[in-house]
Amino acid sequence: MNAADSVVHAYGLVPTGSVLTIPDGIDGSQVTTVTIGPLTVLVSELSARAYGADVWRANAEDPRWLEHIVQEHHRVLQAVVEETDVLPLRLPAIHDDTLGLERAVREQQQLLEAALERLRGHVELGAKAFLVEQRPVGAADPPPTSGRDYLARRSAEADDRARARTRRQAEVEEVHRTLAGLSTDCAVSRPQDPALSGRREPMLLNAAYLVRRADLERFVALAEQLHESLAAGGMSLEITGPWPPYNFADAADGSMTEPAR
Amino acid sequence: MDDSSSPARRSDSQPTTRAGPTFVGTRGQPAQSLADVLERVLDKGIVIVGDIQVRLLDIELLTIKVRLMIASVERAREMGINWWEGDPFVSTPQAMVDGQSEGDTRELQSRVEALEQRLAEAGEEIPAARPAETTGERHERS
Repeated sequence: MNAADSVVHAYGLVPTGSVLTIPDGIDGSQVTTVTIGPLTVLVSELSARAYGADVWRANAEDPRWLEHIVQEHHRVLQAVVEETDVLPLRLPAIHDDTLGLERAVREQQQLLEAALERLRGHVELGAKAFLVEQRPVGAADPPPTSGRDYLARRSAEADDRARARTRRQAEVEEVHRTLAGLSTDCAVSRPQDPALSGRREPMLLNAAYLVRRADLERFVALAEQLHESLAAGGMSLEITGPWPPYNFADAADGSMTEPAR
Repeated sequence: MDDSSSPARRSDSQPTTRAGPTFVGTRGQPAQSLADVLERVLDKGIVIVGDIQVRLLDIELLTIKVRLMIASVERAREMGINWWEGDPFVSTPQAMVDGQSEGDTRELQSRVEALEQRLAEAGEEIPAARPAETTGERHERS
């Protein structure tokens, strides 16, 4: 491709010398490497007509366009994380050329090395808790006999629901603390928009954990137990992963452990 | 996500992490849902400050747009998607992170309504992409 017609799309960084099966890139493009000392960037040269800066700007608010490149970018990183440590790059991650990319990496080399070092030997696991079953309160009681009785019932039911909610919240927080105990780091995000997640059940927890690969089995076994205990309270726990550690890629100042905006 | 990795060539000190998600709890859900992927790829990950800067859509706005793309508000209500309204004891998802309150929910609701109003006034069809326009951010080449 003519240099002016292409952009360099970067997926993430792996430790130089990592052995991995190179996956296919975005839209079937080739994935190649750019090595700067101990850091190796995985990149694809893409047509500027398809993925140049102007195209990004034109489509930055188009959910369908974004979804496609998001899924493709993630597909590559997912394949990589299953074999080796990777520091994922946030989109759009495009550069005019490899020289520009190299220069940028050198300028931030210490920061990037530190970020990758923190992730060595780790993957990300996601945990979401849902309220799947709300027990109706007072359903078995005999019907109210008066207006006052009815209002008293409603008030008591509201109190019961508030107490139940507090109890559930405490249980979910305990689950999170337990999982965090088996992790190197954790990050809590807002519950997902139901229209996006397609889930109607209230989401009570949306968290990510940085877990040593060696601890994966133990973490999952622990999550199974926690799911059983939550189920008694009408809740469920779902674990996803292993993920590229998106939630733990950023600066060392702990900013990534704060909730997403 | 389907298993996209073939058997790995790997260094002996690096165990292969099995492809495919580990799933505890409700089965039949997508292993890595669109929501799961979007909130990670668009909102997380490290940034190499490079030559090309593009300001991406705020992810909250993006999810609202996706919602509008999926259904009108009325249709969404029919489908039971009504997180912005209703009995806070029952239907509001509980945000344990920042103690989202009824007030937040109402504020979010009015923001959504304002956005819908703007889109309707603009006569905009979702999801047609708007013609390329500058964001007003010109990045100087070094």
